[in-house]
Amino acid sequence: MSAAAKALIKKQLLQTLNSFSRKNRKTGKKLSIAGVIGIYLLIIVSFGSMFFTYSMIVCEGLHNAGLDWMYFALFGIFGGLFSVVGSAFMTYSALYNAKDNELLLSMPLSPSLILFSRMIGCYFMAFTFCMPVLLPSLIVYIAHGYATAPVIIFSLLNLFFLPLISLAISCVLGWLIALIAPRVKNKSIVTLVVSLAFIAGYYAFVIRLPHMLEDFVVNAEGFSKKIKYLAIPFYLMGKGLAGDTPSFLLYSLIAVLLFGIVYYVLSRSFIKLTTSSAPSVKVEYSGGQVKSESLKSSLLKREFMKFKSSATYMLNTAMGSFFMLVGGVAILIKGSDIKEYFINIAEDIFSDSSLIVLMSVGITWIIVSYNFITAASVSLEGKSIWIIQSLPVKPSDALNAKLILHIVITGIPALILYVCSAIAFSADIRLLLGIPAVILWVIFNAVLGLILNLKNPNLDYIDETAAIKNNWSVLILMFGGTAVVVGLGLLYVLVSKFLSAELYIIAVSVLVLAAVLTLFKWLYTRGAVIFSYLN
Amino acid sequence: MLKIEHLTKIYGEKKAVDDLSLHILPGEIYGFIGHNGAGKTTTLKAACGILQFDKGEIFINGLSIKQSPIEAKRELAYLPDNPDLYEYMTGIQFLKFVADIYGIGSEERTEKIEKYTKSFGINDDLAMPISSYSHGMKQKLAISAAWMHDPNLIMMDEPFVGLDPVASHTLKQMMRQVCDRGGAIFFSTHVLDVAEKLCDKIAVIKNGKLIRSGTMDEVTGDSSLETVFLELEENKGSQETKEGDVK
Repeated sequence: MSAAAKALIKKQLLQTLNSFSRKNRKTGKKLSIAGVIGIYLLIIVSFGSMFFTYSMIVCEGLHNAGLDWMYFALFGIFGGLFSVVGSAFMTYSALYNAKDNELLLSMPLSPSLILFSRMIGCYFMAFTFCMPVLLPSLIVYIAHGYATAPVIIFSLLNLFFLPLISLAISCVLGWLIALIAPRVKNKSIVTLVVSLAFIAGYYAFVIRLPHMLEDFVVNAEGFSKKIKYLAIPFYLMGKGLAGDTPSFLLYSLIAVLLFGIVYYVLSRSFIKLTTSSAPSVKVEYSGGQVKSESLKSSLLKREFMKFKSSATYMLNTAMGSFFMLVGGVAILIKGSDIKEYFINIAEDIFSDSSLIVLMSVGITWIIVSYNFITAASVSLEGKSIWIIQSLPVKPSDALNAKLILHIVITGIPALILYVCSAIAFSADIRLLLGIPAVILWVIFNAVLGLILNLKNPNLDYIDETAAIKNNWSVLILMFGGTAVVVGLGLLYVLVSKFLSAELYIIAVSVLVLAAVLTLFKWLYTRGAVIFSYLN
Repeated sequence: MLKIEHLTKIYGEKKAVDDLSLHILPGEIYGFIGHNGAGKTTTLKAACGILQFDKGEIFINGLSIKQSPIEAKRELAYLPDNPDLYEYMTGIQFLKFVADIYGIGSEERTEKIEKYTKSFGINDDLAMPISSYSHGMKQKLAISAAWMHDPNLIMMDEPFVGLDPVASHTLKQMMRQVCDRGGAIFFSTHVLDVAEKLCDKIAVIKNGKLIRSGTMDEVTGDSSLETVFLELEENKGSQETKEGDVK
């Protein structure tokens, strides 16, 4: 391998690793390798546990039917799909939208070598997504005592071959996105709609999957014929992993060939795609009176413009609102069925109106914690923060605009969900008690998120996603919010003998109000100074 | 118009600006020159209230930037070396936003937007998103925005970088007009020819210390600004400010 190729691959791997760990602004320290591995393992364990459950559902049934190959083929398909879905957009960004494409293309490096180095980084991502599917299925197979030496060896080797297939598919999808993306108008809205449709489809699939897997075991013979003819590489993979050496060798060859063909074809069009720009249609300014607006309304409009301009911002920080709206409508439609289901589980709880109010508040609070618009809003000022700092704007006014955006985007869906769930479970007038509790929690999350982001902003980001996702404020809000709700739930169990649910909601609301006032005091004093001089 | 007194800014153990004092009077175009990392940008950022400083005081038209930042900022406009604007806005949306912040009335803003953007030749592009603008167009838009509220003091960091010759000429005329109506300009530049022709006064900063300041004649004498600047840069011993040069 040439020195240039080594340098390129090293740069790409460093870039991939760096995306996991950002320097702390105060200490200048980066997340350690152990920290990166810890996060990596956490991802694998959290996704792996889901596929572990699925493996448990089908493993014994398929083995007893003599269809071990189909067990491996099935999880190979899942692994491939999971990897393609998880990494297609990343592959597109890494291959065709990388900031340093022009710099590298200006150097004496062949485009195919640049492409290859990028594909190595993407391969690492594909590998990451395949692991949580393939490993649990192998562990379950071994735990059942079905595994032989060839099964284990081929399965471990497959950890490296399957990512080649999924990478090839991701690359083709990335290539299609690169072809289409420059021609799409309102990119952020299109991305938002496609992503929401995909997420809705994904959850519908995940919810139905256990039933589908049970059907799959019952009708295994019929499915096995379909896989044999429609997904030959996966059939060969299944046969190979079940211990058939020729099938495994043939499958490995197909994986390598597929990757090679895709690499060859893409390297032909790499320069054209990376250097092509969107065919822009110039809209000429027609002039006319430029209307004036108040300072506060203009600041708020600025926040909304930023929010709706970025699908990444909307999708990553306001997903809770989507779930709350969909959940609220679903609860209204299917209310009686859901109520009947829960009453069968715990009649005492779901027949008591005040407990229903308490639970509805708790559920709403958890989902509200999954919105963290303010927790990214300071970072997203980015390098243009000098504008708001140099203008005669009180920092409190600028910060309030960020809070209002969060409160509106989160508060309205939260109230819809809360009221819908309380009504569906036939709560009486006491449901009014929960409304201040929900509003206060939304405000608390908004202010806390803003403070956390003020304390740890990332203004130097290259990719917006890093400013939004690579952010401790987000993790604290998400997990902290859930932990608080669980803690308060447990506390209620302890104090329920002395305190009615109504009084408990009032007491907790007063506590949250006190916390909100304390946070506001900090925000308007110390927080305002921090915001004025952030750079 | 701008009074900087004993400004000191320390980053870690390094003094980025060391006891710098400057006084810019109404009607003056004041150039600020120095090597890369000398402390020009730090001084400008501190003067416009976006960077905290450790010692000293800065007054804009008599208003302390520390004690009355909002009132002081109403008096000034700042232009950084790299015009990072709101890419999610169109040009007209950005100008409207800035006009709203300064409370400029509808008629006045319409007239000024037309005047400045037409003089820079970007009026037709105002409906386009800023993300589609070139570096020079962003710079022209930022200048138009800075001029909109008739600031008394305009501070600019390398304002001519990225501007075409026509736009540079327009900017120079606009700078002179500000001074003619009693305002002042304080700007940094590496283009010594421009500084020499345009500035009424000049300040030279080296390693955070002001090493020379005054009228062009006082600073350069019979030599060119380039010659003087190179001599000052080479002369390690001349880091002390010449007493009496600073007004």
